[in-house]
Amino acid sequence: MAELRGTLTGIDLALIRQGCYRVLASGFNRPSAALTEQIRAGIVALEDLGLGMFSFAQQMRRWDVALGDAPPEAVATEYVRLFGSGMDGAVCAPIESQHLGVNLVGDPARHAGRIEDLMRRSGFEVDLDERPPDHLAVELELASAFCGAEATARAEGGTSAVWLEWLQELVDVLAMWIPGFATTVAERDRVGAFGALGEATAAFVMHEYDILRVLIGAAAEESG
Amino acid sequence: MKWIACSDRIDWTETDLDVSARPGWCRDPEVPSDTDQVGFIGCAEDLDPAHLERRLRSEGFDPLGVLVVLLTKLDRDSPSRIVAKVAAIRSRMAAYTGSRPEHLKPVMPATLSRRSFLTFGSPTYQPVPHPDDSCCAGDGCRACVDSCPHGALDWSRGAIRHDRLGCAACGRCVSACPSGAMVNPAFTPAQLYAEVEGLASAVAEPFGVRITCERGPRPELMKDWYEVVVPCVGMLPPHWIIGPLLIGATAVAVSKCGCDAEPDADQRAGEAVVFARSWLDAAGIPADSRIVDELREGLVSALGVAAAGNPFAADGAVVVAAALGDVHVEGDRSPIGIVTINEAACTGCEMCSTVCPTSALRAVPIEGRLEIDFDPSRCTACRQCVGRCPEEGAIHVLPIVDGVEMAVGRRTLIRHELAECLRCGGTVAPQAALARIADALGDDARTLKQVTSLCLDCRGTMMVF
Repeated sequence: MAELRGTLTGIDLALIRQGCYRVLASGFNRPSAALTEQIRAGIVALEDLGLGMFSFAQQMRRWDVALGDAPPEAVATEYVRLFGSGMDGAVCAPIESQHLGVNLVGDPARHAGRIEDLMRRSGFEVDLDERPPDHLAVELELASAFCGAEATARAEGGTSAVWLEWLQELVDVLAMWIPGFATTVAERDRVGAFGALGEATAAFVMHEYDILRVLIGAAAEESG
Repeated sequence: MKWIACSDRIDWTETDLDVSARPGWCRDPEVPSDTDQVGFIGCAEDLDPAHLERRLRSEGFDPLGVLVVLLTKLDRDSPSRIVAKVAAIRSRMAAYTGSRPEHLKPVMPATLSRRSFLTFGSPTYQPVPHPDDSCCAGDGCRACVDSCPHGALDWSRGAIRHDRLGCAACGRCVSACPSGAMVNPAFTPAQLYAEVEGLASAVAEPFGVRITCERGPRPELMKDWYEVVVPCVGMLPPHWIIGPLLIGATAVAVSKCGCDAEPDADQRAGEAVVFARSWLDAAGIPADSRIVDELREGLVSALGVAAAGNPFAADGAVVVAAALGDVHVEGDRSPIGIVTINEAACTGCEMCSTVCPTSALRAVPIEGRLEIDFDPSRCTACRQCVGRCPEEGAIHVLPIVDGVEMAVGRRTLIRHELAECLRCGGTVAPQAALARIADALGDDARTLKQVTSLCLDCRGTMMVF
């Protein structure tokens, strides 16, 4: 375990959060043995950055252990069963409009449009790779990019307020459906890795929901 | 069970605990990473709980689930007190059922705020209550929202929303929730019960319990007195004050709040103490020697009355009432109520029974009639029925603990005749509700006929075809 740090600069915090978003986003991409290795290496790197001081570290570590325990073929099959085909009635797609929509015509477009609009305004583009824009992996990758931009802005002496506000737009909506989604995945997952991933994502998103308000408040004080 | 402790101020050979002690542990609390069968004992003056929490989290522990016993000088002078406190905390932690991310509020004070040099202290986490959807009564009950003095709870789109950052974790929602759905994993009624029970099993002599605020000052205790910490004394209902007496304590004291976060806490605690004393007096138990203002020596023996359940649970008032027997006590802070319905004003809209979180009020349709019945042994005097009733003065809650009424059990409060649909014979609404609608519509006879003579389904069919 990394040595406990007494303080944390805004840049450090942004970098740790960027890494967490990035690692979690990878978890919702189609799995492979190489990707699993990358994810586990990413969690080790996060430990070095100070992951252990945050409440969601426990869930991230559990996910790491679950990834190590699950056979790669079983993980790949389970990914399709849970997030793709829905065989055995297990489908729980990591797509926002599937969880927040009210089955009205145009709901998926509304959610996808919100993410696309955010990408346009922020100038970031995520390689969709046949995923809808409101796919959780896309949203987490976009959030990761915002945190990276926040770290850069801080390093250049800015307050990073605009990046935080854009990130808050994303996270406020994620916080509405991710906890319920995580519960569903945990109930249906047969290999453990995705249940643990869901719980780690939920813990991190809930943490972000609160931390962003703290950071936005601090940014307002800085500029005020 | 292995204990890790500091040996600066305590000679551990005088206790029979399995302790691994080293000098200065409290100031630099090392945490082993190879076992979870471990507890920590530190000195209240030296150990920084926030620092220990960070260490525990860093090593992969859930800090809320780890046994930490803080000893004062009074404890350290008496091996039997140490053993009793350890037993109480062990018992309390055995009742810990885990936490979820929504139960932790991050606290990150900015230590330096100059643009890019914005620097935070490493985060600490305050456990806060959060509604457990699986047992929240829903259906419009807002007892927790009404009780929150910080505006951190809100009822929106049929669900309770909780603002963690705005929450002060004062615990009032926990004791106000009639269905036990507000859960603070660091402080549950089951843990409180277990802690007092742990003390009772470990202390042979008569002992007193002082209920103290978590954040307030902790005045010196006396021999034979033990402290039980709650988030804030403002959260205490009267039956929580009587509760320890039914688990084995022989006296109870409630300390002053002393923090500025809850300005009315002392007043509320004082009112609860007054009601609790009246309740004991009514039961023939001299309250002055049991619920005391100042700690005293020479405690009397135990009550000899035991609770057949958890007096701190959501239905704890009924547990206490059952233990104390037939009494009649009135007062605004009564945790049990008697509901009455004014026949002239009630329209049978069923709002009261819908929002009643404990099903003390129930609407039962029987053969062309609608009966609203009531069971006082389920009523928690939460007054949700009064707050949601659309008819002024139709329903009242008398705050009374009345053993006779509770023994009567469920009774019918009002019967409404139901109007039949002229088309299908189904139910339209209670006659009283139709009379109220007729009053409101005045001379609009056409609408009146349509609304009052057909049920909802038939009205819909008429409109379509």
